[in-house]
Amino acid sequence: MLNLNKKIIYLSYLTAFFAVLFFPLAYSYAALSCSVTTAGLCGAGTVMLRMSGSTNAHAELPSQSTAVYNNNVVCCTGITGLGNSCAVSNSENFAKLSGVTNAHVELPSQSLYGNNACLSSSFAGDVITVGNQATNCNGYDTTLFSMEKTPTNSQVGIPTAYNNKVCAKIFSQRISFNISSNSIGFGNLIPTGLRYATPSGTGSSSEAESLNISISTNAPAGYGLYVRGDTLKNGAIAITPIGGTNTTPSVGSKAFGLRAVATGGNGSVVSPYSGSGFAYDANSTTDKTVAFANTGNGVTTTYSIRTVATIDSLLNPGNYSTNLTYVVTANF
Amino acid sequence: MIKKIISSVLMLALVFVSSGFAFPKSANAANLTVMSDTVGNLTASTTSSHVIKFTTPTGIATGKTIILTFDNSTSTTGLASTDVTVLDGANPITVNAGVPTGANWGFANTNPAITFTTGSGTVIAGHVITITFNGTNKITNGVVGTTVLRITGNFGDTGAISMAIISNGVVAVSAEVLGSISFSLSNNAIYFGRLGTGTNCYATTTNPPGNCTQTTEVEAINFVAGTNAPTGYTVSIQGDTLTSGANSITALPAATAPTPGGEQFGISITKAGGTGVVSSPYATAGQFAYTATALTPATLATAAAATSNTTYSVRYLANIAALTEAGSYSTSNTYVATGNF
Repeated sequence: MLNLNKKIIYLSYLTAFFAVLFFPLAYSYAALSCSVTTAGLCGAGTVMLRMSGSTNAHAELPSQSTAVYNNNVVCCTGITGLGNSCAVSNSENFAKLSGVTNAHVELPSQSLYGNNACLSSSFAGDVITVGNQATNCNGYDTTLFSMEKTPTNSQVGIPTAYNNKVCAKIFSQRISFNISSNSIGFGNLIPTGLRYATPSGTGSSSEAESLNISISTNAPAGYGLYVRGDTLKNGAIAITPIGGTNTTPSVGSKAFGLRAVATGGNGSVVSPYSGSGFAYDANSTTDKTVAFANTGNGVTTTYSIRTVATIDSLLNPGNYSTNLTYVVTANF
Repeated sequence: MIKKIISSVLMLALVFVSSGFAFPKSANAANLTVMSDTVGNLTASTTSSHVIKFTTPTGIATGKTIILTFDNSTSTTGLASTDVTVLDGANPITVNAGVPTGANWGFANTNPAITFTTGSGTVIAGHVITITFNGTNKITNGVVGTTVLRITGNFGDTGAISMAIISNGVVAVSAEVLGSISFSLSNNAIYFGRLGTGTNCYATTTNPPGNCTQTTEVEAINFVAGTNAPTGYTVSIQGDTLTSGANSITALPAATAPTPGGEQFGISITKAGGTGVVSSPYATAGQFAYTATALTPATLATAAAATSNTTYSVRYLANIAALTEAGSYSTSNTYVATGNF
């Protein structure tokens, strides 16, 4: 019995050890995937480096075509606009070669060799990260190849050939933002009831959606949705904004406000716009936060914006209007 | 014993691997963190402010460049060093055109890229840099789609910030407030009864079967007026004095106290609420007048601005002389309220 317990503990240590060793701990956002294959099988992929063999090999740049190197090319896929140019603005140098072919390799941080091998993207929002580390490429999307030694004068091989791994990751930034209507109206405001703005411009006497705003992003720290703009005005005459406390306006008093209701995704409406009442504490120069998400999970949150106004019996007749600017800021 | 040794070694290895000491990592330029660009207006092809924030893991040494490059047809044309403010944490950094001067950062605009060159100061690793473009000249948004701001240069870190440029980020909100005026009359028929020469007679809403019974001043009718018209309202009356065929009871042309035994027809008005006022000659308490005719209105009350309801209490007086012709006397007085919109 005692021996069995020891065996269980022993196996637990082994399991934990290999779990830490082989499973990535960081969340991976991108779909960059690289493998060593033949030039013929790379197809729609992009060749990042060509090698003379699977191990103990020399390297050549993708621009070269030495036949023997055709059997071991680092082929990458998964990212639209992926490339191997060092000339485009969004590129990262992952290795330096002693020549364009039949070359030894050094890390990008070294300065002995002058032939750069790069991973690039035509989309500026693709954040490319390359690096090297021992044993594995945890924290990256993929392993490009391995080096016999670092930092310089190294032969190369397939990812499993050597302990020194050359790694890459591409995080494709994504942000989408849509406003369903750019013109809403209350119709005629009255001192005997609340009015709600509608996209038709005629307004409603019962609460209705004025517009909706859809947001999604994969920004690691999410986003904020802000509003800016005056209350309803007719020249110098203003309909009093409700302010920073969620309130249901009193019939017969001047009031202008909005509230929002979130559906889908992980975005949330913030106070004072999250209650069943209304609020408005922005102005023409000060943004106020309507909603936010702490993390960008790529799922769309739709915010239903409801806008309310009412007046007293003395408010001067005329056309009242304002422009509300909605802004979303992603936090990458 | 061997198992214990293996177990211990594995435990140490586990701690070693977990701590990250086993396999040193190296990467090229560090990625900037906590990056954002708050754009004042995301409408395509519109000028807008930008507040760009990022944290530099490496820090920024002296004489290094920080290059902000926008894509998607974004234009920085016209931006000058005076249009930008820079903060290192909460500490402002002065920016001057061209090369840096002392601790000032240099500024160069090569649309669509802005290059800052640090001065004699340094930025400590982990600090937040805030660059605000909100001066006279502003950045012009590109076309609908994703705009990416790339942050590069030789300071050691790089980053990118994506923004969603849309066709219109502004919502126009409209409402109309109609001009309104409220006006009501409490009654449409009032009566004096049979007039006499011995006492004053005041109209009431009750028709007495014989002689006038209301000999003290009393409200005959009231009217209520209110409006949101910026310059208020006017209430007028039009109509003859009491007439019976060709005969009439003389209307009082000015505010006059009632005197039994003489022909008198007039009204007197008091008010309550609102900001409306009774017009002369009807405002003097206890005195009566009537200046309207069948063809000419007379102003009874006015308000100079929008006002809530004012209630006007109208008292009617009629007296006759001994020689007043016998007959049934009547008139129709038309009340009109006009908003001054």
